Amino acid sequence: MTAKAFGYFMGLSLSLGTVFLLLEQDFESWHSSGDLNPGHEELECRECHITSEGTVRQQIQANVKYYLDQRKTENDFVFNKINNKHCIACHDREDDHHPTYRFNEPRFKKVRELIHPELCISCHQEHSARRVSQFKPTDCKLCHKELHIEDDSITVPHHELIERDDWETCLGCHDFHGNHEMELEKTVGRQIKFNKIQDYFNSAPFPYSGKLIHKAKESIYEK
Amino acid sequence: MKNKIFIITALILMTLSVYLFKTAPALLADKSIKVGSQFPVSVLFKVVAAENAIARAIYTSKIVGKGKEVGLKFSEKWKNKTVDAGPLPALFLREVSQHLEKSPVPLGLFLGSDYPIASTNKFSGQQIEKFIQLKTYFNPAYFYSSDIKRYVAMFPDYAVAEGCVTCHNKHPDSPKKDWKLHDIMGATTWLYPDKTVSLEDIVKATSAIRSGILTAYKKYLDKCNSFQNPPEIGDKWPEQGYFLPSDKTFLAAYEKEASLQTMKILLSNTVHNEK
Repeated sequence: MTAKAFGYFMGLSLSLGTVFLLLEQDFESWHSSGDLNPGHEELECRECHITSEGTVRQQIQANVKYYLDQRKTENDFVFNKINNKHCIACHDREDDHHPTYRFNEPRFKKVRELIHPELCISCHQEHSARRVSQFKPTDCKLCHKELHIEDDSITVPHHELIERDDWETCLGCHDFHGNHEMELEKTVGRQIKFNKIQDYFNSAPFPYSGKLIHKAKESIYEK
Repeated sequence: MKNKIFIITALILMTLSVYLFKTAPALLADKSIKVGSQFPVSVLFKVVAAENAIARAIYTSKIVGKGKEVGLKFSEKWKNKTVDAGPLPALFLREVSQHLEKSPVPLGLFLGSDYPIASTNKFSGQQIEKFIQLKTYFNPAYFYSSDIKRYVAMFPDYAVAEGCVTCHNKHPDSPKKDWKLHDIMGATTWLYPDKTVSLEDIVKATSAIRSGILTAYKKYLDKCNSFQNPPEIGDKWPEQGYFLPSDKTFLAAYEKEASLQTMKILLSNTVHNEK
């Protein structure tokens, strides 16, 4: 064997070895696109990256047919595209205050164009190492521009705060998904400060009092 | 050189074609292909809207309306453990809507109004335009929402019982206090992704809405069991006293009316198809 052929042989062997090594479960984190978000650190890749229907050959065949206009729908390739149902499989809640499907109503068109609240991953982009990756606390204003509560028990009524534009976010007093057992703050000025909310969005523990109402499942395979 | 590249490319493409089509395994099913009779999606919308309207009317008049007369309570805070109450009709619909979202049928349902009690349910944009049209002509409004790729239908939601009128007129957060019986108080908005549907799609959607209605009613019965003074649940209705129909009794009463209505819609549209 010449030195050149030996070089090619070694190169090929090493490459194949590396590929097989990376496919092993213990080395999954090596080819992850980024650190997992808080709470997801212990999850295995297969929790979200679910193998799509058919063999790779069938998937290529279906997609070639789709691009040749011989089929109406594309087929997911290797893994299913991530959608809300993947998230809901663990995070399903009876009384979510802002369920994603709510934003599919036609009247939320402008908000959808701006922040896509109809998709879980618009706010919670995985592999970002943050709890909330894209939603800004001030985004509440995109929908809650008008509010009149007859039996308003806070020290300065909500509608007054809105009229005076004397508010930054709802999240100082309210938890977006309503998943904390907490007493609502009634004194304006004593709400959770903006920077604390931002820290929470990054990765700090939740600033809201009270326990979590619904704990997420630890695996989509959990019954 | 050019010839060489051409021959290699042709060989690769030929190999790929043989790999993908000639010796390939069975084709993956294209789920968008519909088998059997085809209907415009408006037929599916008419069926589910009628099913929902019948359930809502029964719940509003026979459970909420008559129930209040015998001491049953209904509240916005019905899920609160310390409140012995059931869901108001709008919240009953929300439960149905939530169930639909969890079902595999891609059907969406929302309730809104131009004068809602909760300001977050107020129509705007295309929905308010279509709602005005709906109130003027008393016909459902259909349109396509391109960004979510959904066909949309809006159906009038009438004040079917005196309870609707009194509750909305008395509610402190209601922006309108002069509702009258049979007014259009709002609209249900329905979403579906396909322009045409098969009979199977309609059956699946009907089944999903019925399952949603039954689940919502069962949740109410579960809550009743935790009341300090729970009503007797069986085959009697509130008009007979402090009773509630069981889920089976409620479903039977609802299905009796709804099945007839659904069949009427399907048959009238099948005849139109044949013409």
